[in-house]
Amino acid sequence: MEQKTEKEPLICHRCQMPLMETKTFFKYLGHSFHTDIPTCPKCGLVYISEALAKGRMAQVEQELEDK
Amino acid sequence: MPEILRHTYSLCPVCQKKLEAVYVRRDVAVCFELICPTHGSFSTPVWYNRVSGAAWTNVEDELTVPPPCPDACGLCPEHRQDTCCVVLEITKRCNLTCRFCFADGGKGEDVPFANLQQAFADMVKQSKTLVQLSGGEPTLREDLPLVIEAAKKAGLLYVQLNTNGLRLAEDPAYAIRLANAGLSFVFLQFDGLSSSVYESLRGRDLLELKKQAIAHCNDAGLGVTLVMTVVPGVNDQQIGDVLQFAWEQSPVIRGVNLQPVSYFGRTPNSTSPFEHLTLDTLAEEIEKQTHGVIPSSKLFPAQNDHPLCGFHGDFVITSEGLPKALSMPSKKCTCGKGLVSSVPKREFLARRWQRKPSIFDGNQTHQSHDLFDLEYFAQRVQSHGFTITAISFQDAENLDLERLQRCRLHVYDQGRMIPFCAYYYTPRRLL
Ligand SMILES: [Zn+2]
Ligand SMILES: [Zn+2]
Repeated sequence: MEQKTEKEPLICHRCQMPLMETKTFFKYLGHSFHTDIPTCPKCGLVYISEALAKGRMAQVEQELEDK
Repeated sequence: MPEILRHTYSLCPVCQKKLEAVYVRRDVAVCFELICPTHGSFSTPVWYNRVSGAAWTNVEDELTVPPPCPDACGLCPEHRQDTCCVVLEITKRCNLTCRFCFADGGKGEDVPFANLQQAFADMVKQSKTLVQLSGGEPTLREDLPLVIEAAKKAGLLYVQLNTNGLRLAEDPAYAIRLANAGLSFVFLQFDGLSSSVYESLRGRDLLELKKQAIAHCNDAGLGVTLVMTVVPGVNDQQIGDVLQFAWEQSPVIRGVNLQPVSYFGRTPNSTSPFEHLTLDTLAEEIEKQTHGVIPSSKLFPAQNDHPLCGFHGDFVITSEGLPKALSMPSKKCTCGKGLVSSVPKREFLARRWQRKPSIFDGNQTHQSHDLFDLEYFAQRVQSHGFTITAISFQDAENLDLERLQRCRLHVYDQGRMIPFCAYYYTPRRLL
């Protein structure tokens, strides 16, 4: 179900630093979550991949939204 | 001063004449009331304000002309909701004689196999993809696995079995046969956790058989939803016990469907005055009897249904074995004219009721048991989702034609889709 995208290192445009998988906390639809998201170690930019947005997060949205 | 809250239409409980009806706020409760020129006035409580009514307030416009229901049911162009689930009676035979039975089953025959194939083809043609095989007791048909296979072959996505579980209990291989035939999930009649409840409602003690049926479904990988007919004075104090029993057996048990007793079919006039367990009373009892584990604030009226027809609550069972609420009130407004689709709701419910093999199901391979972990959460909701639903069926005492117009549970009858409460409507007999 979950597709793995190509594993090229992502680079922060501003800092030219490679992003690092970092445990990130966020609130989504009233629930708190954490997951590992590529993050710039210098400026904190996070990269939400399409795989994450369309995969797990879309699935979670489907489960949490009222029908 | 009594206050009229809403106008609608109903039928005289005795002569079935179509009449204006009103919801009236009286001292103790909101009552559903009508007056028949021949048979006098009728009033029945529908809401005691035991939970806040705010979320339950109807946002649709009032009816201003009498709708064609139920004479034109099947479905008529005025119908407001698409079908969510289709009930299909596949036999009239039954191996129990229950005090309450909407179908008044027991005698009669099996529906010919060819008719069932026709029914499945009809449903698929109309994109109605969830069928509930019902009865009578469907497991009395020797060809039930073939019926399930035929439904799947016709293109139905979900095949549900409504059963008392006797056959599932007797024969451990039976559940496996049904699962192999393509059965999606089981709705098991389950009235309580004491022998006396079954003796009173079903004529004999069935508790151990019910537990065996669940165990056999578990072995077959079938998800089970417990269906509890709640009868005031008989088992209404076992709601909490049944819910706890159910969530302790997640993931084989997928949830509980609570059905406050209605007076139709076999018992249109068994007690006088009729006693309805209102939805707000039910929600309050759930909170009280589960000691707050299931708060009534986490039970919501289903979005597109009439708020008096039922509620649901979505939960995930944590690794500590306790339900954690998932649902939240939707801000989406779907009111408006035209037929409202039932597809999202059907898919959602089917996802909950169906058991999903998961890497978290047996041996835990994921290092986390932390529901805050997005990955674990997403998996756990699928494997250990738990749904509490309540359906409040209408009967002669409280039949509201506006509710009927918005019904999404339909009975298949010779090519027609008839709202459940219209199909089983039984007028009150004069004493
Ligand atoms: Zn940066
Ligand atoms: Zn009358």
